[in-house]
Amino acid sequence: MTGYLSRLLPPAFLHVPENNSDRLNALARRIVMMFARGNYRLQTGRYVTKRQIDERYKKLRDVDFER
Amino acid sequence: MSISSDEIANIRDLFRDAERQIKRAEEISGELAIPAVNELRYAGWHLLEALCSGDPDNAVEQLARARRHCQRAIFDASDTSIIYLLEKIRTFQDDYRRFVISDVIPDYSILKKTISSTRHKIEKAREGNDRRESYYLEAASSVGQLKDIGDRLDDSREELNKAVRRQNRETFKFWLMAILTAVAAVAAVLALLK
Repeated sequence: MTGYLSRLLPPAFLHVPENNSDRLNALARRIVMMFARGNYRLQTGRYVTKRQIDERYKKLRDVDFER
Repeated sequence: MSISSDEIANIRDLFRDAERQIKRAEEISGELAIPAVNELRYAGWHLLEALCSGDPDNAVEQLARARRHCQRAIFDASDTSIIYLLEKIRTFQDDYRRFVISDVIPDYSILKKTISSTRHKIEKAREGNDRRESYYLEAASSVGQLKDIGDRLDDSREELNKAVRRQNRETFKFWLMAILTAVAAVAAVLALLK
């Protein structure tokens, strides 16, 4: 019933929730920044993990550099 | 078999190279490459295991593992730099995709081939986990090559921007003339019709 009723309502923009893994990654980075000692890059959150490198690589895999 | 000082010296050299590559990756990308640091951590662990082991065969095996971890660390650090540099080059290509870059960089097609072959090399090395040890030297040398190309492309940005602005002025002139001609033609037709 609510399904039918909702179709009668005018369309509205919905909130797109952030990807949960992205939020967890951001949280992990904040924790690293909070507790890291002795390494400037870690203290400022400027580090790259295996997953991030793989994601970057995935985006580059289909790029045609000779075009 | 027992631990040879040559083997230890070899691991020390590899460890030093790995540290250099990690520093280089930091300089290039501004980020610390965690996978490479982890590999060095494992290398340190196996080295200590070898030194403390009472069994000579196990010690040799542990040293071999330490060596492989150092090689993987070199590869991982180089991989981080290469991926960053490829991203930078892709941004450059996107920025000037509608412009003939070879007008400003005459050997641009050769550079593109080098970029492409580096990408293929890294693709091959990434296919299997054990391949990283065999490609670490190649990956390390590719960083230097790509860095030079990236720097050259960056240096040419100013010249390219000038050329793009020049081309935009020409395009503006062309459209201005086209519009004026069209307006004149319409005015002429209207005058004839009166």
